[in-house]
Amino acid sequence: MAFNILVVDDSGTVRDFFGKTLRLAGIPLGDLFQARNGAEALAILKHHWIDLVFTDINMPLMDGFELVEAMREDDLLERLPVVVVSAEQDPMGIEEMLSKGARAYVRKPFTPERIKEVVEDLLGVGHAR
Amino acid sequence: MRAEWRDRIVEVFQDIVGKQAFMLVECLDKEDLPAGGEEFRRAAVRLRGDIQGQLTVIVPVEMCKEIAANVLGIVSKENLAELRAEDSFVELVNVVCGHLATVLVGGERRARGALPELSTISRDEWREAQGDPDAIGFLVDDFPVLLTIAVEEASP
Repeated sequence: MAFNILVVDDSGTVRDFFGKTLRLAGIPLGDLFQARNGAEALAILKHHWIDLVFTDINMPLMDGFELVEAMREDDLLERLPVVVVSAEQDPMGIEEMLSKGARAYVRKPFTPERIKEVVEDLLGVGHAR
Repeated sequence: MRAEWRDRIVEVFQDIVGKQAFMLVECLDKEDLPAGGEEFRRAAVRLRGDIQGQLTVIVPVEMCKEIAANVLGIVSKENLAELRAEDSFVELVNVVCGHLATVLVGGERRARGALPELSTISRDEWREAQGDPDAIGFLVDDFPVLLTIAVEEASP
């Protein structure tokens, strides 16, 4: 059983680091998809089966807030778990993301242990493809 | 810069660079910093919200490759380190800014950084930045680094 995960971040370094972190965390990884902003993420979500989305907030073209909103307005995507990953610790901003449908928040810089905790909490083993 | 902010800024910078780039950070008198080559990268982030201003971090070009190599767990001579050099530096500054915004505003107030702007500066421009009274000097591994933050309370 393996999970398909989508990482949305305008930093290529963060996207690469996510791949390394997910493997270090021992998460059974199927395909790791990458998007540089919310618009690219939506395009990927339309064409691929994704189990979990990690998204940054501050990105060009379409930011994390807009991505979460767009997903919640789509019947096929509204229940897909989204984790917000950001350096920001603004309580109202985080609350806003969670109220829009994000399921968890991870603050940068993050550790493999924290990512593993979130993935296990949101997916468990019963949801793997 | 408010005097009480300086210690917090130093603490946040040391913490984030240590955790994200796995580099040792020492706060040094700016005048004691070693020469850092002829070319430098400068990342500037505008802060908006209940405080407004700008965070600027300047590092030698070579340090960007080291940051990428450390973050990605590769050696700095690999092509990927070269490819991700500037991006790794910008992301590091972005994370430092996110944490500083939290520390500097405090309580229920809010501040958010814009997308960082990257530029290249010369040694002469580095010296000019070194003369800024608000600039804080760091030795990061063996690289000289300057951090400047100019912020003010937003008008009500």
